[in-house]
Amino acid sequence: MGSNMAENHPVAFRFLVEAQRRGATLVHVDPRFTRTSALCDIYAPIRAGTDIAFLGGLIRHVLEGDHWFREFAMAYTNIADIIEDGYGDPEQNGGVFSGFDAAQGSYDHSSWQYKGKRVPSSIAEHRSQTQEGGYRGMTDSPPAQDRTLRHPNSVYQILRRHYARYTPEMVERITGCPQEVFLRVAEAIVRASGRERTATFCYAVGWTHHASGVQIIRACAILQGLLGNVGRPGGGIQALRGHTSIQGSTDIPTLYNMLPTYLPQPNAFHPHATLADYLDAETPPTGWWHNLPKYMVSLLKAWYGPAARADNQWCYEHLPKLTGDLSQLPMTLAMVSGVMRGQFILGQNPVVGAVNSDLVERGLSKLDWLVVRDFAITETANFWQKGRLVQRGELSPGQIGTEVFLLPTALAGEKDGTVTNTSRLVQWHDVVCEAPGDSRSDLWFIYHLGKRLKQLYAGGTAARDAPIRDLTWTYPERGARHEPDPAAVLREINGYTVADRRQLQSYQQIRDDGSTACGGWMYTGVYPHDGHNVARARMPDGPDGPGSHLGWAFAWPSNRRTLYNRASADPAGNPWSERKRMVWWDAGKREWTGTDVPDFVRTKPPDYRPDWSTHPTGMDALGGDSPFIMEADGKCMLFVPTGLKDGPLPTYYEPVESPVRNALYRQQHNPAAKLWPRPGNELHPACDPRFPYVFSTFRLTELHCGGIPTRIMPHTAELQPEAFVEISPELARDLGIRHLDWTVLSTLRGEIEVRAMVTERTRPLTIDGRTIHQIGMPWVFGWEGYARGDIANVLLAITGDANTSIHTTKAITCALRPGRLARAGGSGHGR
Amino acid sequence: MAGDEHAAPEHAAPEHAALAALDAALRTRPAKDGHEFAQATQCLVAFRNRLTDRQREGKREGADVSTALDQVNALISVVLGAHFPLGTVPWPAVERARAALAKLIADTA
Repeated sequence: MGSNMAENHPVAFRFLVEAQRRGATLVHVDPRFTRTSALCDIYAPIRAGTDIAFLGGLIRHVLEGDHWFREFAMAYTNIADIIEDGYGDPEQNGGVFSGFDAAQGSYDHSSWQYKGKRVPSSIAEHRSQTQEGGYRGMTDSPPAQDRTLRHPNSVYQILRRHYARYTPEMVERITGCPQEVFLRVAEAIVRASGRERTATFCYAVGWTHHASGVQIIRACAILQGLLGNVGRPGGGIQALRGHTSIQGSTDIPTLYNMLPTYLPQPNAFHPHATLADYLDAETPPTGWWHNLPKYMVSLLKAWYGPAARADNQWCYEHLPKLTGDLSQLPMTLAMVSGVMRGQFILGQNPVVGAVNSDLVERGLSKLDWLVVRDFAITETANFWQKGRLVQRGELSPGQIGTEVFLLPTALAGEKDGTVTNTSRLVQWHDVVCEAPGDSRSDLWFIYHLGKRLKQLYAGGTAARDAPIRDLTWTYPERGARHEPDPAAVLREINGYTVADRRQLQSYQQIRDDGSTACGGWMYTGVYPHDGHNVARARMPDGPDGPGSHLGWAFAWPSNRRTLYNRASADPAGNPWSERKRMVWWDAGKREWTGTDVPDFVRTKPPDYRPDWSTHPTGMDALGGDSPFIMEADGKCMLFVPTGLKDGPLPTYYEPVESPVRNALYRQQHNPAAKLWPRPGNELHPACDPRFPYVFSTFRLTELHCGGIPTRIMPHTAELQPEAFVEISPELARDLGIRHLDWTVLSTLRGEIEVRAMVTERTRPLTIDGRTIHQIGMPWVFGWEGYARGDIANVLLAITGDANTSIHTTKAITCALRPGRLARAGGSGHGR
Repeated sequence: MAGDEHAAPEHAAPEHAALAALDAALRTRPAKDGHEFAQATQCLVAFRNRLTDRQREGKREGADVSTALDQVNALISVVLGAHFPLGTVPWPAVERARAALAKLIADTA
């Protein structure tokens, strides 16, 4: 679900084809019938953006049919835990959870807690938006439970009540997927789960690019937790990450709200004034994250070297403190307001790839300077000359004061370094040839920019100069171009001892006393010795091997391939079945062992239980049967007491723009979604007759990334020579559109013209008794290169997921008509 | 053009317009994305730009301008954080920002 894997992750899809050859059932749930659908055993069509209704239906099917893996879920999830009396469900609460502040559009989490406790969340991104701390009761006792599952506020009973209305009939009514197809999918998943079998889900941005994207993935996590498909071979939820080290840019983040490897960014409005305050507020009392101080101090030591000392809080004051949401979407709006003076664009082409392209152009036109690094001209680099606003006459190049610098970059084969993507796999690639002319790697650019800044600040005495002055910035340079050595960067990320600069072998060696430095604790082990770069390893398992491929590159953390793999053994430490064994307790050696690196304290026996009389902390507070060690209670959270901004359970809301009313609640869309309506970014009201069609965007196999790398190459450009919109034969007939006719797509944000691809890949759906048409368009075109076409993202609005601020690209509404825009010929003629 | 509808009134100095916008925000307490914050941000940016120009011109009050510039940049961070909040709007910080701006205006008058 949420991906067209065969076309967009074709290398990874080979593994699914092989699994199918060995007997696996492949299912594709998607608004479009794609090449992935064609290769699957079951294709289930759904309306774009209705995934939670579909997944909620599966959860209900599993619960009401008693298909859940009882031994697994009772031992390893919070299904028996009791939630506070004040918890209120959307079913009884007008479509919102208890704690909702309608004026602020946000939730207070107090009533979602385990009874009598205050639970920390596990992910830094949650903390950046919600002030936590004040954790209560976690070291006193385990959460209260009712093992009979009869307590009305047990998670089990809450789940049953919450999903009771997600019947196959309701699934069909909301998603448009026929009941019989939905039930075939449900039965296939149940059949593939249990002691002997496991099922997995693969998703990509078809799940994340929604206002409720995080909750879609949460719904899948509940389902997999109930079915025992987590931490086991062949199970899990596979995040199909972008080709260009998207996972890596989250781990060692280009994100504004996290420090490397998921440490919370300090916040000016949280109790983070000093390092001690920060650690006191952010360190969970129980679970693995109790080690946070070690990772934080070692990060500061890696960044600021000798300047970081105990008596100056390890230079904690050098870290910038968050004041607000500085993600790309609000900052685009801020750019329009003239707040920003300049911008660096590395590895992206926002005029094509960011939503609401016209607003992006307006923002860029307000800058003083813009640095674009790419290996060819991009739409972002020449918006001032060829942009839509210039073409329409709203702006002229003479009116745009932005000074644009286009700096040529090296291609992937012209530089060495790592790519981290799906499976958290860190893979090294070597340089093949030197980049031509003035082209340089991004690492070269950042490194030399840093050197020049340090020279400029060398004599600075102001407090604000110290973060740059103290920054460690000593990487070996190679050749006449003074290319910094990326292996040295990776060694720093891995971590080392400060006294004798010896590489760390594992994150268990990281300390909070200044004796170790580490740029990203989850990567420790990727470079365990000088000269030993594990990311370069290329030794796959043979045909009879375990399939974990521990000799191929490095998967963080600790080269572990399956997270939470303690769950692949039963509570006593024995494999759930021989067929599905992965990690188990070796009673003779008194340690965990298996075909993967155990994700547990290696010597903690299965029967270990915390001594609550001692108020244990950290891992001492988790029993030997608690595999989910990053959670404060060691359990898979079917119900999330803390952290999520839009509810402890996934609940179905219509997309922010939708042609239908929410069949479940009077609350139409996610009440905590980030919306910024304003001139130029207006949203369509629900069921607006001017915009009756569901619109979704997608990628093409033939055009890579934002399109530029392949649109400028004749041999790939000719494979997809022009932008198009996919519409069904039925809609084409209704509107009088023939295949390859010109059409105009419009929203309140803008309008574009492209040719029609009339295809049965896109089908109308019957939603609540009405015919709803869906149309789709690739978003990878622009005005540069050989393969050109209007930019799909012109149509989209700037809106954000409540938790991540990720934009919505997969389900909006639009209008469609035959013909052309006046600017393209003036006649409006469509043929 | 989008975004320009919140520009400071032409007759008011930007720092005074920013103060008025912050007063309006504190009075009305908009939940999210309040236009008062947009206006305050734009006015503070105009104030910042003017200070930057003065500093680059190298006028004698350079040291004072530099201090004022630091303060205005901090105020922009706070007001921008209130305009695009992480969680709820940090009203106590907005109140402190308002007081700091009023003092800055008085000191630089």
